[in-house]
Amino acid sequence: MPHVLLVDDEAPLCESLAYSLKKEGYEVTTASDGHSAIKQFHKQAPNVILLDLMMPEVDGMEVCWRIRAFSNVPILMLTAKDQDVDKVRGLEAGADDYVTKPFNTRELLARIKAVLRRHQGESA
Amino acid sequence: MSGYILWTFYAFFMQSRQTDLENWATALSESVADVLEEKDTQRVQSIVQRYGAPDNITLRVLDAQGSLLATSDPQTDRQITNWLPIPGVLDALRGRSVQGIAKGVLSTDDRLYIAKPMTRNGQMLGVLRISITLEQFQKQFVRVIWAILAALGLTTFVCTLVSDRLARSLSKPIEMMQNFAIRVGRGQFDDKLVIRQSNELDQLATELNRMSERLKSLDEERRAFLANVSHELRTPVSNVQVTIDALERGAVDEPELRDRFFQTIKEETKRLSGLIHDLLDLGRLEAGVTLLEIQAITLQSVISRAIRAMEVRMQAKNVTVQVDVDDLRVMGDSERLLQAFLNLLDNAIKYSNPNARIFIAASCNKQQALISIQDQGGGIPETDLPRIFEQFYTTSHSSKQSGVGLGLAIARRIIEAHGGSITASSKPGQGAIFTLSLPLES
Ligand SMILES: Nc1ncnc2c1ncn2[C@@H]1O[C@H](COP(=O)(O)OP(=O)(O)OP(=O)(O)O)[C@@H](O)[C@H]1O
Ligand SMILES: [Mg+2]
Repeated sequence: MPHVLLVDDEAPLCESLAYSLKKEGYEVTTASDGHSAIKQFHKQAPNVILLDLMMPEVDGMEVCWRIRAFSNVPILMLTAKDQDVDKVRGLEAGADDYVTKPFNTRELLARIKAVLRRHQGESA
Repeated sequence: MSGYILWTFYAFFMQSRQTDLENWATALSESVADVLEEKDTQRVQSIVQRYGAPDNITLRVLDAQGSLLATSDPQTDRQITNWLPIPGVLDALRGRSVQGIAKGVLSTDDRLYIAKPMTRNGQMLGVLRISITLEQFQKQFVRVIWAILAALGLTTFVCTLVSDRLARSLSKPIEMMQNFAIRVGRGQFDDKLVIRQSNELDQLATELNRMSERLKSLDEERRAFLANVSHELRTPVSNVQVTIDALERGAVDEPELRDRFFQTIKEETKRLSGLIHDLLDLGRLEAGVTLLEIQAITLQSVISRAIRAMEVRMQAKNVTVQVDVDDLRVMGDSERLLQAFLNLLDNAIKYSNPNARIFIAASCNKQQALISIQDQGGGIPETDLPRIFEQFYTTSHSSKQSGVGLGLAIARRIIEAHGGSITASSKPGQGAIFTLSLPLES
C-alpha cells in the first residue's frame, strides 16, 4: 500500500485530504511545517510527498531541495500561488508535478497515481 | 557673400588707383605742357625719365600728330611705329581724356592707363599717356583671395565640426532617453540611464531614473499584492473544496467527522468572507470611494465599544485592559474608527502573553487627540517596524495565529482618511505601543 506524506500548514486541508486519501487506500502521514516534514520523511520513508509551497519558516521549496539531495521520491507540489514563475521554480527545485489550489480531490488522486506509475516505470 | 566682399574690395582698390592716376596725370600734364610750349624736348625727356619707373610706371609723351616725343621705356617703344592703335591715344588726340585697363603695349600684363590731351590756348600740344602695371596688385589680390577662401574654408570646416559635435552631444542623449522611455513604457524597469554631462540633460536623466524606480516599486507592489490576494483567497476556498470532497467520499456517514468537517467549512467560509470584506475596505479606502460620515463623537464611547466587542477574547486569554481616556470629542466616522480600534486591539490581544495587561490612554494637545494602545507582548523587531503597516505584511516569526496582515494596513488608511496619523514603536521584549492622532472637535 503506497504511503503518502502530506505536508501543509493548513490543518483543515490536512485533515480532509488525509481522509480522502485513506479512503482511496493510501497510508497517510501528515506534517504541518518543513522541519517535521523532513523528520517524518526519514521516519516513514513515504512513496510520494504532497508538499505545500507556502509555509512559515522552512517553506516547501526548501523541503524539496533538502529531500532531493538524497532521494528521488516523487514530489507533488501544492500551492496557492498561481504565478508561472513559482511553477517553474517548483519544478526546478525537483518537484515532479504541480497542483494549484483550489483543486479537485479526484484530479489530485489521478495525478498521484500518475507520478507513482511513472516513478515505478523508471525504477523498474 | 565673400564674392561680394572681394568684388567691393577690388572695386575700391581700382577706384582709388584710378583717382591717384588721374591726379597724377593732371599734375604731370601741366608741367609737361609748360615745357612743350617752350618746345624743350630735352626737358620733356628728363621729366618722363624722372617719373617713370622701369617695371611699374611708364610715361609717354606724344605730339599732336601722334608720334612719340619722349618715353620712360625707350627699349620697348623703339619697336613701335604707329601709336594711334594704342588704347586711349586716338581719343586723347581728339581732345578727350581717357582712362581704362588694357594690356601692356608690347607685354601681356594688365595695366591701368590714362591718356590725357595737353592743350594750351585751344591748341593741341600733344598727349600724355601714363600706365601702371596691375600685375603686382593682381598677384597680391590673388593671394588675398586665397587667404580669404582658406579662412572661409577653415571656418566652415570648424563650424561644421563644432555644430556636428554639439548636435551629437544633444541628440545622442536624447535618443538614449527616448529608448529608455520606450523600455520603461513596455514595463522594463531594470536598466538605468547613464548620461555623463553636466547640464539639464543629466538632470533630466536623473529624473527619468527616479521615475523608473518609482514605477518599478509600484509595479512590484502591485504584483506582490496580487500574489498575496491570490494566495489568501485560494487557501480557504481550497480548504472548503477538499473538505466537501471528503464529505462526499464518505465522511458524511461518520457523525463525528461530519460535524467537524461542517465546522471547518463554516470557519473557512467565514475566513473567506472576512478577507473579502477586508480587501474591499482596503480597496475602497485606497481609491477614496469610502465616504466618511464625519461628526463630533466622544472618544470614550468608541473605545468602550471596541473593548466590549473584544471582551470574550480577552477573557479567554485572561488579558485585562486598563483605560485612561480623557473626555475628548473628536471629528470622525464612529463605525470606521471602531474598525480601526478593533484591529489594533485584536493585535494587542493576539500578541500578548496570557494574563498580561493592555493600556489604552488618550489625551490631547492643541489641535489633536492622542491615543495610545500599549501591550506587554513580545514587541515588534526594529527591522519590521517600518513595514508592519503594509498590506499583507506579517513578521516572519509570527506563525499560524497571526492573520493575513491586513489589519494595520486598514487601520492606517482609516486614520489617515480622518486626517490623523498612526505610528508604532517597540522595545524588544517590552511590547508594542501604537500611537494615533485624530483631529479634535473645533
Ligand atoms: N501589538 C503587536 N505586538 C507585536 N507585533 C505586532 C503587534 N501588532 C502588529 N504586530 C505585527 O505586525 C504585523 C502586521 O499586523 P496586522 O494587524 O497588519 O496583521 P495581522 O494581525 O498579522 O493580520 P490581520 O490583522 O489581517 O488579521 C503582524 O503580523 C505582527 O507581526
Ligand atoms: Mg492584526
